[in-house]
Amino acid sequence: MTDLVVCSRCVLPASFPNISFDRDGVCCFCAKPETTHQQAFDARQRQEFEQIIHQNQGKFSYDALCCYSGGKDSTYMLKMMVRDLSLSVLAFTLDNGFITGQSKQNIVKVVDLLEVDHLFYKPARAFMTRMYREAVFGDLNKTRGNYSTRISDVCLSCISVVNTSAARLALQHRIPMIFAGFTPGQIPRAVIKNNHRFYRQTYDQHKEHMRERLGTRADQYLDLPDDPFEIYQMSPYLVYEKSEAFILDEIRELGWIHPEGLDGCTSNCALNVVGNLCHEKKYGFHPYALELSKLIRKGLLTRTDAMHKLTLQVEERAVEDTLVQLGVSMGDIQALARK
Amino acid sequence: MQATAEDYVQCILEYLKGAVLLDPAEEIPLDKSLLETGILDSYGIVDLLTFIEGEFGLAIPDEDITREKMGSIRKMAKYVELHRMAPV
Repeated sequence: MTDLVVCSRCVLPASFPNISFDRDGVCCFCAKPETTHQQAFDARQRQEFEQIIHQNQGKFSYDALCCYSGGKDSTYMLKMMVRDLSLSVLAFTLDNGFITGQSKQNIVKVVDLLEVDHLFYKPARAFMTRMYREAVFGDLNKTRGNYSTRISDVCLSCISVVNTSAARLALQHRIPMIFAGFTPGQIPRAVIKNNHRFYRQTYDQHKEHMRERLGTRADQYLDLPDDPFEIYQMSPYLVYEKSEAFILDEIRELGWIHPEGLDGCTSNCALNVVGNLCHEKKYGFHPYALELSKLIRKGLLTRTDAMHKLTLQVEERAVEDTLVQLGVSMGDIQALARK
Repeated sequence: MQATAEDYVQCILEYLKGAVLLDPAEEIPLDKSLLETGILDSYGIVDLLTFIEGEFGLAIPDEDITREKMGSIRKMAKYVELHRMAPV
């Protein structure tokens, strides 16, 4: 973290946009953490989540597509989908070129053990590298509105390809639910109906800008067909809240091993580490600070653990390997102008 | 006293100027689509609608999430005024 002044309850720093502190050092977001009818909303959300599963189970070859990154959250989610929710699952991993070797081993081991069908999809490296560079050093995401408080430029561009690819796959195979391992700090609601149409609309709106920056192949990775098939995006961690300690215990029995050489905020992707560094340099705060602060307020993470995650140093060699693949240097990152 | 649509406009603006906007001085249009003006992306819209439901005790049905009913901050505020019974 670049700032020494941090909220005394969560981990939001003084450099976070629009923040203020009271005399006890508590930030304005901790002072009013929840909306007025949050409990009623949470109860309704859980009911809707379970209802959607009930309505869609057994209707098609697969009940659900699992966006499986190989990280701890999606690993436990996959286990939950198979063993607790008894869903017929197609697991899908977008290989962005930076999934660690250990993570790939974890993925293969877990899908075999849980006996689920699984697909690796690796978009062309040249396109993905161009996209990441444009996201960090160019203005690729300028039309995407205010996202910087919650996600890095790199992650936003990558997750866009993941979401679009998952939606395309779900449409092709007629899979009515897409599960993603977003935490309560990463996504606002547990069920989003036809989110893929929103992606399509958003892309359509900014198509020219994306094509200018990424070439016409952008359509292949970021556009979606017009299809009346209905898909629900499901985020189970918003209705079944689990602590990190619980998740790690649960996935250990599947043989999941934490990869080395990553920072405290990722458990599968080496690029995320560089994305976090770039974000801190550009914006002056860590892109995970908001999410972790929400988890602290929900009692799912201690402040000490969150601080540890944000400040954990990364092996320099691991970062260097990623930078070489991206074709940038640490000097390029250091030179990023503060927004 | 019953809150007015203008009260809800202010409440929504306050939320956006909280943990959403990178630059609090950014001008937010009240009568234009936040998506089309590039203020929010699809996540941001879902997040804002979720805030409105949680804050004002509403359950917004899918069929109401349209440009006509939710296409701007003023439209959202009007929607809350019409569908919310309890005062702020």
